[in-house]
Amino acid sequence: MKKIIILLGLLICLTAGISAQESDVIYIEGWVDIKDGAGEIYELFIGDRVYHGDTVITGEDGIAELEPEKGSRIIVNPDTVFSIKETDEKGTKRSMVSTTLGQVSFKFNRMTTEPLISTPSTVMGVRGTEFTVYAGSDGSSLVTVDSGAVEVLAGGESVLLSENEGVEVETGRSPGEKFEIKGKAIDFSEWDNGNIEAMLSAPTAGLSNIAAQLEKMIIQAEEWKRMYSENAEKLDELRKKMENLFSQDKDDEARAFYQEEIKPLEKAGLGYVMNYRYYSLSALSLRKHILGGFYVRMKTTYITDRNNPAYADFIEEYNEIIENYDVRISPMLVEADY
Amino acid sequence: MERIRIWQYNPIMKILNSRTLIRTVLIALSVMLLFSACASLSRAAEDDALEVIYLINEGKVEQLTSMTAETFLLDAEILQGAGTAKLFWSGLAEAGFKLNNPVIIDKNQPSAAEKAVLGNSIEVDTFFTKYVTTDSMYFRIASDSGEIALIIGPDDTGELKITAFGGPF
Repeated sequence: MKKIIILLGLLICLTAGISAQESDVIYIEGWVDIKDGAGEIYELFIGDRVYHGDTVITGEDGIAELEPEKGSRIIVNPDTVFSIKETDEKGTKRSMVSTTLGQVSFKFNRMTTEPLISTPSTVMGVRGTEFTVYAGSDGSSLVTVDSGAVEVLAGGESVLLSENEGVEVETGRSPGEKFEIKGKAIDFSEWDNGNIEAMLSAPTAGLSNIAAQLEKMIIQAEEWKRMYSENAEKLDELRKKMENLFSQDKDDEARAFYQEEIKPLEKAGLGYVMNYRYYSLSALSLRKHILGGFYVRMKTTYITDRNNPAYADFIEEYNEIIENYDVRISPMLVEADY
Repeated sequence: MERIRIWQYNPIMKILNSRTLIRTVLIALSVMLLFSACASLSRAAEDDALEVIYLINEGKVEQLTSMTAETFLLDAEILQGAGTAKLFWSGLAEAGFKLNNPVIIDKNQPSAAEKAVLGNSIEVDTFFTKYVTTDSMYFRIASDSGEIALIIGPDDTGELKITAFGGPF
């Protein structure tokens, strides 16, 4: 059966993930910025390369076309925040392509890298298909498939999409009912305007959904951080043992001890760091682009009516989210992340 | 008269005194230049704050967006990208928000006190460390719509940008 299945894990933050290589920029239209892993922001040009840790931000007239491999394309549409991150799965590095906000179309063709990715909250793989991911301003997602197949996983449930099918996933929920898209193109703006309208009509409900999404990321980040800390403590003990062996002139034994006991833990530690960084950066992205956007909309909507109870309730819940984030996520971030 | 007489009789002393004079004049000029540079920098920044107020009152979204730093602090929220800046300025314009009868009631180089006005969080601390340069200026502006805080500072190219907006308080 030639039908190729893509497992698309819709992460907590409307993150659409797919395995991909670092990509060459082959086309740019309008204004497109890139924020690199060191936190520097500059304009993206044709011929540049997008690396792991980079985030592509397109303006209202900006389009970027990336080539992860010959014959494959990633098209980042206007007003989109898109990044390539890296996670660790049992000692193997995996690329994670994330759409935090906006619309990204993918066409993957005979990827040479094994694309299947599995983390506690995401499963995804790519081989020979065309699909589009829409990430809404309220944190929800919409996936449509042009060819091939996509399995969308969210909230512990999955939906298998075939050609000309789509599905919507509301923030923090399982995938909804799949629908036919044959003959009609999805208008991202129209879909997103509906999301925004719903979000503004019930702001605290919208905030709760985002908070739930954020909480999932925080739990993951904390779990990987805990594993990293435990691993680091164990490494300290083992390194002391190794030093003892060296101090007793048992150099060969010490080297063998390093290879057998310490080195695997060092490797695992790198993976734990990669994963807690991945989740903490995903949380930062969710805050900056989804929660931040929501805050801007609410603030401007009520700026001349600041005593409105709806706004007061929103601010109260928003402050709680920020406080929780500040205590649990901010310490895992570094200056370059901002 | 006494001095002229000494110079006349002692040429070395005359030169030394001339050098001292020149040095004194040069130092005085440098100090004056420094003060005048500081004064003009402050004036320029104040003009920019007034320009921002004018643009807000006129609903000039495009100009405000192009004047806004790529990474921008709105209260305690770090925002990124021109799209978000535009969302903010267009939201203000659509809401009919104006700063009528504006008065600049405070103007400082941003410090811990100014930071506290915008928020007490790691995010705000990091933003100030990374994005607020020493030649930025903080403005507190009173108006009929309440008081707002603005930080305006030069970007990498030296162009003045709106770096932060807080309030109305």
